[in-house]
Amino acid sequence: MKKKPLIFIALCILLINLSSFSYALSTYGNRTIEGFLTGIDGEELEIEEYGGSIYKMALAEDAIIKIDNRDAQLSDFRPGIEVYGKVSEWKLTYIEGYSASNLGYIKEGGKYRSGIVKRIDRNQLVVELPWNEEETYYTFPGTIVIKDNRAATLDTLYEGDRVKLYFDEFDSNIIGRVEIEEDTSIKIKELYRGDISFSDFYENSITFEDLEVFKNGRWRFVGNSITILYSSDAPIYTGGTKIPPTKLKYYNGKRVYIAVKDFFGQDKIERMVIQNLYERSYSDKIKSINWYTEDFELSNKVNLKFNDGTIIIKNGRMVDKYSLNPYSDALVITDGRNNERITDVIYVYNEDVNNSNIGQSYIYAGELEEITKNKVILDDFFLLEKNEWESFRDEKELFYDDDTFIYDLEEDEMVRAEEFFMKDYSVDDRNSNGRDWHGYVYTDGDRISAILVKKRLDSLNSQRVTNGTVERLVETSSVGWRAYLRDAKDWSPSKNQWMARRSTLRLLLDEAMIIKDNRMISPEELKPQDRLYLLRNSSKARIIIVK
Amino acid sequence: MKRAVASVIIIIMALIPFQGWAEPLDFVGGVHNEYEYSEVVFLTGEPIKFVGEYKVTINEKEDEKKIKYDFRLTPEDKEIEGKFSRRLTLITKYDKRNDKGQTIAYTEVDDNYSETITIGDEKFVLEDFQFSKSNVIDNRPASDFYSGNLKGRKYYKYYRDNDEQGKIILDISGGDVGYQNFWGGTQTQLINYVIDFDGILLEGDEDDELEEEEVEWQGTVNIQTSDSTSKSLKYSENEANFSSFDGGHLRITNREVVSKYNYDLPQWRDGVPRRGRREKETITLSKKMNPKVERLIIPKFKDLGGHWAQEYIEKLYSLDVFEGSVTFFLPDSPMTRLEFTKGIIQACDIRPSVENDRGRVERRRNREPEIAYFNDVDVNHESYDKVKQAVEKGLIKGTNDNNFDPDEPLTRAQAITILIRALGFETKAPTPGYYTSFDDDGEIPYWAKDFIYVAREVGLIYGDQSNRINPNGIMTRAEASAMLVRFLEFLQRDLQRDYRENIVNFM
Repeated sequence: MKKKPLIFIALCILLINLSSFSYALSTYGNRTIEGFLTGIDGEELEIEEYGGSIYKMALAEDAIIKIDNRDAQLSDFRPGIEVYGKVSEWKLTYIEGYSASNLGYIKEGGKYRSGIVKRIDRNQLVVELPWNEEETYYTFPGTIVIKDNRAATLDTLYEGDRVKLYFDEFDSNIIGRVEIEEDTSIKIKELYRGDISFSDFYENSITFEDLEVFKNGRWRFVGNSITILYSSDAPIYTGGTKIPPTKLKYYNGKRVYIAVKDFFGQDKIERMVIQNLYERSYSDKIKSINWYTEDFELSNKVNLKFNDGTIIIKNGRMVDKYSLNPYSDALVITDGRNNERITDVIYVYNEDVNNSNIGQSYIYAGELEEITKNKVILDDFFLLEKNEWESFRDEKELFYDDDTFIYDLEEDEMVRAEEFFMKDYSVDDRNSNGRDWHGYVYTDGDRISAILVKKRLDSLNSQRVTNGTVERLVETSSVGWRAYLRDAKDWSPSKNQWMARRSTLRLLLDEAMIIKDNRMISPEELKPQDRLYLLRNSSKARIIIVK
Repeated sequence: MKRAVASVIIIIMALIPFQGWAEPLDFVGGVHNEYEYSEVVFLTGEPIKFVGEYKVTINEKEDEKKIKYDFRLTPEDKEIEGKFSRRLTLITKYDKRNDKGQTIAYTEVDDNYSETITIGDEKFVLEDFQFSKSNVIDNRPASDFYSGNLKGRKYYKYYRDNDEQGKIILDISGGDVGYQNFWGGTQTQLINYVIDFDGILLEGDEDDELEEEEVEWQGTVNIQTSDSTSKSLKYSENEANFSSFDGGHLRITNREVVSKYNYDLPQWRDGVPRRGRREKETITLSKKMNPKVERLIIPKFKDLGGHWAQEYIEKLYSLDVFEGSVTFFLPDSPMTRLEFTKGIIQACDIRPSVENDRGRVERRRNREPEIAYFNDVDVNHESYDKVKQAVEKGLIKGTNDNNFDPDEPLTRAQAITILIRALGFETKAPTPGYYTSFDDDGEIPYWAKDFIYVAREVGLIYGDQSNRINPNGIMTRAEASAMLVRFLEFLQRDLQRDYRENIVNFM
């Protein structure tokens, strides 16, 4: 008797299961299935639907197998993966698994770009990519900056610099890390003029006759039969037209202007312009520029044409025409006939305290009215603005910290921050017979990066602002360190213009505050080829900024 | 027996002193050409450039490579009296992981080494040399990419007038990175030296009297050395007018080794280091090999004159990339899947692996029937070998129904997929769920998305003026030629820049 209810129950269960199975069969005859893969048995997949039902199905012969919308194989699947399938004729014709939890993920710095900085505007960098496309990227306060394999700051960047940019997201234009090419290989090392003797396309080199280098405002003979390498992608222009290196042999005997960079100790042509007609040079201020019609006017009313091939050197770097600014002072070398002239070379003289508008560095001079534990107040201070000292009948509050470089010129020694306010550099006018000292201050905003203190302030009126390139450095027992500057330019307040010097400038360095990368350095740390922006009293340098 | 003969041939071939594989000599920043070698030595605390002769013998077997170096140098500055000799053998053992398409290399120095540097009355003798280096080589169809790390230590004894006066420990660390393909190869080494001197030096006083002084000094040298080979195609015009051809292409192989030393050493006065004063400078070296020149076949197509892709097509034809008619190229006809696949194998000189060849010999001997990879390219198909090679190298996979559709027109997405597979760069794509920067991203087939994304990232492809990539568009033979030439430029020029200038010039 007891067996009958058991058989009845068993039959009921069987019927229920059969009905659900038949439902499943009808449902999945040409339907989809979604759930979790619970097992793989040979060619059969066991899938547990979200509803809890479990099905075993084989793959169709030409089934599409994917994981995360990418082609996959059955062996890539593991129990537990979420799946979606299409079923036809009781077989899976399509199965896709979902594995990636971070969609569109790249590793930190996984997106990479390299190129030339074309424009800098605070946090925006316009970069020309190797495929000649310009893209705008953005920096943020957390952007890591590296130059010379060391941490650096963004204000070291110039237009014309080559950079490597790293981004942390695949669709991001915000730069996570920027690496800046070191100066030696990015700077234009020399500007030459010479006649093409012949070119060697096997080794990418050109041999020149009557090669001259532009130095101190004049072309100076270098030699004959001088061979210089060129890069196969270095553009060669004549009359504004680009010519391929294979056509160079048709220009043998022609005069050319070449800008070279350093390539592991050798000169390498960065750009070359073949002179078309007759040379005429100007050293003047650019009054206005029309980039659309590609012409500009000098202060002397001369109108000149320029083009994509024009060699434009600014801050020691090759830049494009859009980096040219009106009111720049420049050497302009043209070729043409009568008044029809095309510009082959524009060599911009201008330098400033800051490399771009990212930099917020200032140079002050003044009396140390008050020094507290973290602050210096200058009274009746002077600020260097547009290469001239501007006087302010006011007080200026500047801040210092333990990382500020403080130098006592009288004692010829560095002063620690905690000693600075203890010493008598600033005296209480009511209780003391002493006098306040004076200082030259180099700041980042209102934070003092470096300060040089001395008892008396030099005559600022007789100071000259100069820029130039270190040719050599000499240490003598009589006058200490001396630098020889080539291609020096002095700022003329009356003409409001940089005036090129035609001779090498000798500078005495021992009483100078020398700043490089926001830190004070000693004269021996200067190197040939360093570009300097400086203030000097005659031959005595007072403040030098290594650009 | 045959295997033994093959090994002997490999050894003999490898004994030829000029090696094609771009690889700086040793790990010391030296540069060389066919006949001269130079390097900078810092053991005295000041840089001294040595120049002279060298000899390299390479003995290469299937899973081992021995490189024997022998340098005999003198100071370049003739006012310095000195000489330098170094002999060492580096033994590299390869562990080929064919299942992963990778090779692991382990390099050690053989015990039979010697190094002696004499400068005036000072002598530095290498007493002990510990060295360990390991590389991983990713063997991709169109190029091998590799990266390695090294660590070493040299112990020198310091003698003056043949009396032992101290010791120098030279700690070496760093690595290398490189690639090697038919169109070029570059190896860039980044090595750091830490020099530690402890000994007795002679200090001169005001009366030029010399006094013994116990001195310790430390210095660092960062070395970046790059050996790079690249092949380029150049057009040479025929100077004669009455000729059956106007000009033709030639392949020029250039090789150059460059090096940069950034050092930080003591400043010296009267024979001893100045307290707190350092000398931080950079020295660069470079040497070039004589270029190798190879003239190529001259194309004589009648239908290419003035076509925008004429230069690309003629370059590829010169390389025997295209088969078929020598009179008409039909640049605007569709490129087929088979032609493109064969083209990339030929253009990149992708060769079947030794194992496959050997396997084929065995199969022939045993007369086992070969099973074709695709239903529509059977083993008797005239291009079967190339298709098989492309499958085995992972360049092509065919369609879901196991066909290759060899004569079907090639789409842009398919072409890009093959090129990126040849480089093995598909792993550089983000995890799925992203979009490319092209405006027609939605039209990109799912299987091509990673490849198109990566091709855009490395600068192989760009969008048209409407920023569309047109992934399903049929490629003409001219367009496919332009894409292949760009790919060869990438192998030759872009990789060189990335592995040399973009590393060394940023240090």
